[in-house]
Amino acid sequence: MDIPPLAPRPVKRLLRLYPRAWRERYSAEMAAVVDDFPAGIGVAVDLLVGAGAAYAAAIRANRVLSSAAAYLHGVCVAFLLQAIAFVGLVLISEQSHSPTVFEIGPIRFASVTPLIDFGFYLDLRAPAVRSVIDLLLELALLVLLIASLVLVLRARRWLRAGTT
Amino acid sequence: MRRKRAILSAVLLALVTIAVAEAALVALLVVFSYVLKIDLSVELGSFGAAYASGQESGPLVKLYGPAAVAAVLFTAACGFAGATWTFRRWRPAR
Repeated sequence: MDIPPLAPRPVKRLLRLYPRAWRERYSAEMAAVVDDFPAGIGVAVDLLVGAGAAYAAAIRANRVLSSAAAYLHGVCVAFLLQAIAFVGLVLISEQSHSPTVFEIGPIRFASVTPLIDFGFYLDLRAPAVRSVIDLLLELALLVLLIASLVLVLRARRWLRAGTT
Repeated sequence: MRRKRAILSAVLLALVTIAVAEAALVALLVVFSYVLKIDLSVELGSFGAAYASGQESGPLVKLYGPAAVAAVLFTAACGFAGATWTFRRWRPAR
């Protein structure tokens, strides 16, 4: 299936996504450059990535905006750490046959009551198969979350390297 | 006056960000409960909410009020630590 190239005008409209200061300085020459290239998906993606980089540079140049971005970054890291803690909690507690309680002194944070064994299973899977499948699912979620955390922690360095 | 308004706006925005993050976290925990086939129960004082996976014999995870308070404080601490670190170390680009 052929993907029709974008019309020149919509591609040039993507220049409006750039920060105002950038547009005031480079808009005219960038529009001329875009006119020289055949309008296509590649040019549109380049312009979108360029707009992101331009905003990253604009944010890095401002102390308050940089701090706000760092705040959001910290919140994202905390979010992922808590999701990892939840999956880890389920993973650890499933190794035990008695209820697991997470508490500090009289303060109780969480408790996990494990699978109740009635002597039969509602589904047709054998108990061992069921536990392996569940364990694999939990491990997959954990790996996915840890990979996301590494990506988020590395993103700032990559952005910094990309804008300098 | 303008400075006070700016500080108030920043604090409100920070609080809204934490609220959105915590709401998203609860939604994510419900999705995880569905995927992992576990029952989830959140008890915040007199208020309680529960999600049942539909499996009668599934494990039950109960989260109590202190866990929610700790989650909010941890999120806020991470955000403010990052913001303070960047604010203090920020240097204009050469």
